[in-house]
Amino acid sequence: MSTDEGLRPDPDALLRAVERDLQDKGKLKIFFGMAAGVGKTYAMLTEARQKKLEGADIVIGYLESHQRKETDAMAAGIELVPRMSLDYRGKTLQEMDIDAILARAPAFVLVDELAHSNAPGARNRKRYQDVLELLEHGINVLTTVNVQHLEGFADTVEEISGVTIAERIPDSVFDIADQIVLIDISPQELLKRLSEGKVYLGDRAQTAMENFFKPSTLAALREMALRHTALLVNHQLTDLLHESPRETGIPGGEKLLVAISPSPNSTHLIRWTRQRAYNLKAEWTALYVDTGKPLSPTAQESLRKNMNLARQLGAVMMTLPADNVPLAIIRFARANAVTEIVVGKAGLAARAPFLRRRTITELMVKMSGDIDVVVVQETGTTLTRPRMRLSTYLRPERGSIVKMVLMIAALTGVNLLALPVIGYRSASILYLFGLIAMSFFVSRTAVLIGAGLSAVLWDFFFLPPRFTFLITKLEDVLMFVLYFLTAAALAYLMSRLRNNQRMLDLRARRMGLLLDLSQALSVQRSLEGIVRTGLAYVTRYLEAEVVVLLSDGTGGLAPKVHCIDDIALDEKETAAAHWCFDNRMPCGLYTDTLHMSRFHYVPLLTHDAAVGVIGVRLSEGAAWLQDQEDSLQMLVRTLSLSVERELLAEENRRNLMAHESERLGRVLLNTVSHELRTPLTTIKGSVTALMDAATVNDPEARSALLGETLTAADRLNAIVENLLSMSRLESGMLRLKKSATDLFDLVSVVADALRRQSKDHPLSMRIDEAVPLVSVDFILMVQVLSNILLNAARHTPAGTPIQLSVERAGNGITLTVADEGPGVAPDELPHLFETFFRGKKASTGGVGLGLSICKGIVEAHGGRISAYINRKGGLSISIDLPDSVVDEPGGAER
Amino acid sequence: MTGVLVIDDEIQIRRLLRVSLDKQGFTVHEAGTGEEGLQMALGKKPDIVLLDLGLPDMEGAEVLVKLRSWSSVPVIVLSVRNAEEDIVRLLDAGADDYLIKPFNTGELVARMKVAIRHHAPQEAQEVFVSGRLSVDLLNRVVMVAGETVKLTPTEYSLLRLFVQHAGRILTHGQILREVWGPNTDEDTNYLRVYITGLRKKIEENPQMPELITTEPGVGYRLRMLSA
Repeated sequence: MSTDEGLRPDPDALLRAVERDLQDKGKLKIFFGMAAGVGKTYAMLTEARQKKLEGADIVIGYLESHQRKETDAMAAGIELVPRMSLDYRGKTLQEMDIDAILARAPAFVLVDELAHSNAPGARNRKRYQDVLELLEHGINVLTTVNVQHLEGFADTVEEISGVTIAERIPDSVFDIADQIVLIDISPQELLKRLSEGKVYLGDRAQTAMENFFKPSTLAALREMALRHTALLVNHQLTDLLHESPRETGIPGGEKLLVAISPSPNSTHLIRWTRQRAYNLKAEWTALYVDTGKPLSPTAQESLRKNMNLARQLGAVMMTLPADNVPLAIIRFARANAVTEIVVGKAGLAARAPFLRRRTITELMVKMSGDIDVVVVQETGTTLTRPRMRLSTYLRPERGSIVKMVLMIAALTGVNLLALPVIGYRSASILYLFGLIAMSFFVSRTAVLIGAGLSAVLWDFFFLPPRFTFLITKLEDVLMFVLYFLTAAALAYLMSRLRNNQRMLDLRARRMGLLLDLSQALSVQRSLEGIVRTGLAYVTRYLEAEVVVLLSDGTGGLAPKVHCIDDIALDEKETAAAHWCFDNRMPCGLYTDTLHMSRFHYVPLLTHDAAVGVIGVRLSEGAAWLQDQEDSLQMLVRTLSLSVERELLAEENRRNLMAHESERLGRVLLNTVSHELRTPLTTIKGSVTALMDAATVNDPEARSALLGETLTAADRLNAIVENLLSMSRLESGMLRLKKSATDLFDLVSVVADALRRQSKDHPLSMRIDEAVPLVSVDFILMVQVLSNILLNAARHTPAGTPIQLSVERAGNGITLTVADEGPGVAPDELPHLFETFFRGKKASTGGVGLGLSICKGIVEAHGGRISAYINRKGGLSISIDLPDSVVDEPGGAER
Repeated sequence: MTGVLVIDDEIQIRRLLRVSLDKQGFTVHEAGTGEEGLQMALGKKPDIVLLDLGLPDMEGAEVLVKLRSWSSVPVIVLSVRNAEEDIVRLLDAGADDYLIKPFNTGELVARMKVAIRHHAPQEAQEVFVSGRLSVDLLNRVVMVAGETVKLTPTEYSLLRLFVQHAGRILTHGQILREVWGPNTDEDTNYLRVYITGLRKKIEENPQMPELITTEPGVGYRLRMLSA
């Protein structure tokens, strides 16, 4: 790379910048401060007034003036979008009316207190989600937020101040901000304003809030705000540098991986990693290793929350089923070129095989090799590992343990009876056998308990000296130890085996489901069919009510609700489905958006568009588990792929048709210009010859020339008629005007036409007297038969007989035109009815339209047209009209 | 001299008609629009009008209706194919005949002559003859190739209608109204049955009729053949 190039802006970065500008998303400006009372709202209003003076269309979406006169005065004169009222448990709560703002569609909207949590019943749980939606619709937003509300700082602020921060927003909101204005005053000044009563602290937590306004806390908060702003400025600077000639080094290409668990402490790990990834400008992945150990509902819920948090903060969330947690993490890290793995200090205890318990963290540090492992202090260490009480832990295994104890007791009885015969050593074998047998049916804990219990019982009842726990002989000690180790190892291995089996089963079940679904989908050739199949599978697999709504093709959702049982969606549900479709994000139940909905909505996404929405609802009281979420995503992906495939196929068909019609257009031009010119040349030639003095007096020549002219004119006329018919057929403008038709009548008209146009082909007719009236378009059928007859006349030597026969064939009717001419080559037969096809032997003109028009007309009547070589070697063309065209006898009365 | 008014917006067609009709002894007046045509019909009092359906200023039907409000001059409609419905409408509204473009000048002159003759006060024609067919309207005797043929009363009414309008097109509706009365609700299928019956009695080869011919989508015509 030359120095010249080195200074050139990175084209990708430029492109990204252009894309950012081109997207008609709104711009976000955040007024950022260390605490309430620093003057964010005031600054925002000042800017709003300035903008209004400049003529900008600016409205207030939400403003909390707390009855402060200064603020009210500042807000006066700026249009206010009325809030909406929500009834919640008898109270009326007021929230920003996002739909009113969207409908008003101003250029700028002021939204105070970005971190606010909306009242239940509002569309989104959090106000920042409202703001994201406004931005999505191209509305610029001015907003305010304090540092303690940022996810990344909330924990620290809680530690410093002791105040619980409930209202949190993801740090990533700052990433999409185009401008961040730090409103900074000194803590002393803020305290002064507080004492003057200029700061509003909210009604509820007066004393708690006072903890905030201690000089030391304020200093810490201020530092956080300043540092965060500095970091943001730094990033923006880097971005700018990337867009202008690049001077900084190559980005590190760091890739972070955070291992998460269902523990609530993982949230801190996730936030920490997000912050670090942001600082490093690195990609990051959150990984959950599913060991297949059953999780309690609380743990499942907590895991789902952790995963959602990671996704929300911008991580790629992955779930990996594996038995060995540290190994799985390391393998994943290596496979994905991760540079840093973040784990918690406490880590989850890995159940090491025997005596020693090593934490995952320790194991990982050992295995990680060249990958850095960052061990992070988890906050709230008392909560680090929720120690379950033994009884709680054993409760689900009670059945297993009881069975095991009963088995051991029974074996002890058997051993006691058999002791005189088999000796005390064999008794241990019997115990072992019992353990092996039981390990197929009971839990690992139960097997371990069984191993311990049987060892003790064996020692007590059988090892001499009997009925004591004493062991005197060295070999017996050895025997006892070996017995216990064998039993324990056995229990461990068995449970591992069963765990693996369970995971394999799960995987096999999922794979099987996917395979089934893909196969079922692959045979579907319509969107409708694909949706039906998808519905059936999702319903069956999740045991849930499922609805699907599809795109109407114009960027909206079609109102039809596809479902298995009759499910009606009320206005609220439909609105949620539309939101999901428009924003291409899951919403409704189990999410933060429109969470009061009855259904959980997930968009069906193809690579560039949403093609529909699927809504899922479990039966009352059932918990939405991670496994179901994963399965749904898997199914939706497969379904979306199929839908996309179908859409692409449709587009392909359209392209093919466009291509074909283009080809036809070209052929048409070529052929037609030739075909039109030939008769025109004849006419012009004949007429000019007729004007010649020499011909005027030659009656024979005159008559010949006039005859030629007439033939040429007729031919021109025929071409024009056929072209018109063809265009009607092709454009679908052809409408059949059916009437009861006597085929005798039809044939007589056709025969008349042939007689007039081609006198030198004797026509014979054979008409079945029993032929009933048929309901056809008389004029079009005349055209069909005329075309076929004239075609026969044109392609056979003069004097060749042509036969037209009409006969009853089954319930339908067959019309056949047979000539005794030279026929056509067998390989040309299938192509005779193709548009612009002309046989090789075709000597005289013809555009190659006649027969294809016949085919079109006959098929419009529901009939079939075919060609074959007849017994006399000539060509026969048969028209089979179905029985549906036969008019009922006595149809005249109708 | 017989005056003919040509209402057609195509100058080439007017020129062609002027030359060919002039030779046949007609005095040709030309109009390029419906409005002009109506004025000339009033001023020149032609003996026959040739009316093109594709006029720029008004529908052919409109011209015909206006013309018919004060004149019973014979009108021959000139049209393109696939306009059969329009043709039937115009025939029912009082046009005398039609021709599909491109037409044959000889055919045109023959049709014009039929129309003019039919329009002239009818001399009581005692016996109508066309080819093998002869019809004595006075004595109600129908003969084919010299032999008397027995017709049912309806068949006879039908044949008499054709004879009265020999050489002219009759639409399905016109025939039904004339033979079965103005309030008939019979449809064309019914008519077809009688036409087939009639053909069997008077045509040499009913499968290829030469006397009563079908005009697809429009109606029937009794052709005048030389004996």
